[in-house]
Amino acid sequence: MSTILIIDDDEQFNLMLKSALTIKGYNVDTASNGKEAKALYQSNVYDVIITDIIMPNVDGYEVILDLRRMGMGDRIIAVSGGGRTAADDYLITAKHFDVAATFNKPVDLQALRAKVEEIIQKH
Amino acid sequence: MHEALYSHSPYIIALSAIALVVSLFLKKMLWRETSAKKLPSPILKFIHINIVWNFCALVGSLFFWQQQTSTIKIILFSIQALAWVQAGTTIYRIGKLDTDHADSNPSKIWNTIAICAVLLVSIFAIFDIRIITEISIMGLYPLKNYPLAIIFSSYFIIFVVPLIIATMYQLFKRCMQSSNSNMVKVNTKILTSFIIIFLIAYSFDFILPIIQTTSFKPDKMHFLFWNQCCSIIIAILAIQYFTSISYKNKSSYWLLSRIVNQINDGIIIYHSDGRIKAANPTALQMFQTTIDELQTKYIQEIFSKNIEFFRESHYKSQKISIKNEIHKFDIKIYQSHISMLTSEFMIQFSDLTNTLYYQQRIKDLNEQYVEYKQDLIRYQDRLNISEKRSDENKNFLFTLINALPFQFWSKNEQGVYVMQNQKDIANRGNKSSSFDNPEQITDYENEARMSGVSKSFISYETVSGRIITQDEANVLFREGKDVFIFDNLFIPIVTDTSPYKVIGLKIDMTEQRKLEKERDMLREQKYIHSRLEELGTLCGAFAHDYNNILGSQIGFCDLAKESIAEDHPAYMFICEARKAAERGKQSLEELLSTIRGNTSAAIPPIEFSPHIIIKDVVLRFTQSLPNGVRIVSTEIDEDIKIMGVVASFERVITNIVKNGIDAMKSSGGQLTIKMHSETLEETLDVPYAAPIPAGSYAKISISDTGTGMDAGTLERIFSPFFTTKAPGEGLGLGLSSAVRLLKEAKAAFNVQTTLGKGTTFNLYWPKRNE
Repeated sequence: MSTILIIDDDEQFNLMLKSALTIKGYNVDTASNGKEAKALYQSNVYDVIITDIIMPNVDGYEVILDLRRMGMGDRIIAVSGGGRTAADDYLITAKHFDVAATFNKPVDLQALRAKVEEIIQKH
Repeated sequence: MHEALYSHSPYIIALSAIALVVSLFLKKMLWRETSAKKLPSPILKFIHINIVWNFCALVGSLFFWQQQTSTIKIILFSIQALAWVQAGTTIYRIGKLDTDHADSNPSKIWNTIAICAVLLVSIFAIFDIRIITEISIMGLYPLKNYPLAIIFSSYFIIFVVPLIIATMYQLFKRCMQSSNSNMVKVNTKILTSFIIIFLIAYSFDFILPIIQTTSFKPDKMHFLFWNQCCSIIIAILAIQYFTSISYKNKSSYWLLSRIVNQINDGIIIYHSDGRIKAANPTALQMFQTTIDELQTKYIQEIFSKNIEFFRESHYKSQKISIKNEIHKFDIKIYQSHISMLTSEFMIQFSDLTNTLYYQQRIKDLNEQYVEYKQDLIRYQDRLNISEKRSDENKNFLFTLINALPFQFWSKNEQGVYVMQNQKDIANRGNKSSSFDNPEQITDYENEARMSGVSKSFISYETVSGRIITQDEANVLFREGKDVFIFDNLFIPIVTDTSPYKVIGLKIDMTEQRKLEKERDMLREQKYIHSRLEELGTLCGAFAHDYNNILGSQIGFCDLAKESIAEDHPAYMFICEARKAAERGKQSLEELLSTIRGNTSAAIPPIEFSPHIIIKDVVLRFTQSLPNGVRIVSTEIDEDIKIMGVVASFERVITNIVKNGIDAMKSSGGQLTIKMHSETLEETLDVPYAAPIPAGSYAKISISDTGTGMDAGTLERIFSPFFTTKAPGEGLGLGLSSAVRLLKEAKAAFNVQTTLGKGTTFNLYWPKRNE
C-alpha cells in the first residue's frame, strides 16, 4: 500500500485531499507546514509528497530542495493557489527544482490522482 | 746838626717829577689793558706808596733841600719814610698773590712795628734831636752827624730788605716748582728783573756813595732816591706780572671754560685745599649732581683717597662708586697757576666703564649688522621663493579658473573687471579693466559688494541670450522651446571696509534643472507605485487564503459527487454548491487580475535614465554602510534610457544591493555597480529562471566581494524571492516582489558566483524601443 504525505497550512484543504486519496486506498499523512513535514518524511518513507508552496515557518521550496537532496525530487507534486502574483510564477520556479508535477489551486482531483498513480507506478 | 736828606739837583727834581706823574697815572695807564674790575690790594697799596713817596721827595727837593733841619722837613721826611717802610711787606704780598687773605697777621704786625719805629724817631727828631745824636755805644756816637739818614737807612735794611729777599726766594721757589714752562719763563724773567733793579738801587743809594766817600756821608745825596725810582719800575713789573699770569685774563679764561665745557671727559677744577670750584657738564652728568651741590664738597670726598690731588699725575682704571654703581675712570690731574704763587688743580677723568660699554656696544652692533645682513640675504631668498610661489599660485589660479565649468569673473572695489575666465570671455567678451553700465549691474551684485554677504539668483535666457522672466521661461518651456537657466552667484571678498571686491559665477543650470525635474517626476511615480504595491500585497494575501478556501470547497464538492449516485436528490445540490464555488473563484480571479492590471495600468512604463536611480540608491546606502564596506558606482553609461516602472527598477536594485551588502557585513569589502548596454543575439539560458530572450538590454552588474555561494546556496537564493514571509525570516534576502517586478518589466537576471571571491548579479533590463 502506497503512502502519501500532504503538506498544506490550510486544514480544510489537507482534509479534502486526504479524503480524496484515502478513498482511492492510499495511506495518507498530513502536515501543516514544512517543519512538521520534515519530522515525518525523515522517519517514514513516502511514495508521493504533495506540498503547498507558500506556508509559514518552512515553506514549500525548502521542502522541495530538502527532498531533492534526499533523491526524492521526482516524487513531489507542488500545489499553489498563488498569492501576490499568479500561482504560475511560483510553480515555474518549482519546476526548475525538478518536481514531478505542479498543480494550480483549485486542484483538479482527477488529474492529481492520475499523477499520484503515475509517480507510484514509475518507481 | 744838619742833614741834607733832599737834593736840589735839577736832574733829581726832574726825575722825581716824572716818577710822581708816572705813579699817578700808573693805575690808569697800565690797568686799562686788563679787564679785571680792580687790582689786587697789595698792588694798589704799592702804587699809593709810590705816589706818597714821590710826592714827598719832590716837595722835599723843591723846598727843603737846604742843610737846615726844620720840623716841617722832618715831618715830610717821616711821611715819606712811613710810605717806603711799608714797601717791603707790600712787595712780599704781591709776590704771594695766591693767598686769598688780604693781610696776614705777621705782615700787619711787621708793618705796625715799622710805623711805630718811624714815628718814634720822627717825634724824637722834632722835639729834641739830641736824644738820638747823643746815643753812645761803647763811647762812640754813631748817630752824631747823620742821625736821620743812618736810622732810616737801618730801618730800610731791617724792615724792607729782608722782605725783598723773601720775595726773591718766593719767586725762585716758584721757578723751581712750576711744571708749566710758560710760568717758569715768566717767573724767571720777573725774578731776574727784580734782582737787577734792586742791585742797581742798592748800588746807587748805598754802596756807591760809601765807596766814593769811604765813609757814609749823605751830605748831598737824595735819600733812597734810586730805590724811589726803582719802586716805580717794580710797580710796573708787578702789574705786568699780574696781568700776564692773572686768572682774570678774561679771554684765556673764557676760551678755557668753553673748551672744558665742550670736552667729553669730566673735568673738575678745585682749589689748592681741595675745595671744588667748578665742573663741566660732563662731570656733573657723571656724578649726577649739580654744580651748587658739588661746590660744597672737597675733591677728596669724591675720588678715592689714594690719589694725590695736588700733584700733576695720571692714574689708570680707578674704581669709583657713584650712587652704588662702580665706574672705572682714567684720571689725570693738572696744576694751573693762577697767579704768581697761587695755583689751582684740574682733574680730568674719562669714564672707562662708558668707554668699555661703548666699545662693547660697537662690537654688538657690528655683530648685529652682520646678522642683519645675513637676514637680509635670507629675506631676499624668501622673497624670491615667495615670488616664485606667487607666480606658481597665479598660474595655478589661472588654470583653475579657466578649467571651471562655468563663467567666472572678478571685480575690484570700484567695480572694474580684474579677471575673467575663458568661458566668460567667450560668452561676454573681454571686459578687462572696464566698467559695467551701472544700470546693468543687478541689485544682488551691489548688495554683495556693499554688505559683504554672498548673493545669488536664478536667471533665464533664451537661445539668443535675451534675459527673460521665470514666467516667460515657463511658457517657452511648455512650448518645448529651449530655455537656458543660470545660477548667478556674487561672492564678496570681505576686508575691513566696504565696498568689497566681488567674484561672480554664472553657472549653467539647464541640464541640472532638467535632471532635477526628471528626478522629481520619478520620485512621485515611486510614491504612487508603492501605495499600489501595498494594496496589491494585501489583496495577494487575501486571494491566497480565499483561493485555498474555495479550493477546499470545490475539492469536497467533487468528493461528494464521487460518493453518491447521480440520481440522488443531493447530487444536484452538490453540483450547485460546486458551481457557486467556481463563481467565487472566477470573481476572485477577476479581482486579482484587476489589481494586477491596475498596478501596471496605474503606472504605465515610461522611458527614464536608470543612472539617476542607481545614484540615488548608492547615495542612500552610503549613509548607513556597515564598517569596512564600501559602495561605488562606476562605468555607468549615462546615455542609456530604459522603459519600465521606476519604482520597480528601484526596488529590484535596492534589494540586490542590500543582499550584497549583507553578504559582506562581517568580512567587509566593496560593492560595485556598473551599467552598460548589451545586445543579446539569441536567447540566453539562465539556471533556475526563465531564459532571457534576445534583444537590447541595459545590463546592470552588481558585484560584491563577499564569500560567494556554493551550488546549494545558489539554488536556494531563488526561493526567498518568492516568499511572502517578512524580511529577516527564511534566508532573509527580502526580495519578495523582485521576480514579479522583473516579469512585469520584461526584465531578467542571472547570477555568477565564485566561492571566496564574490557574487555578481547581472540584471537585464530592456532598453526602450528604438
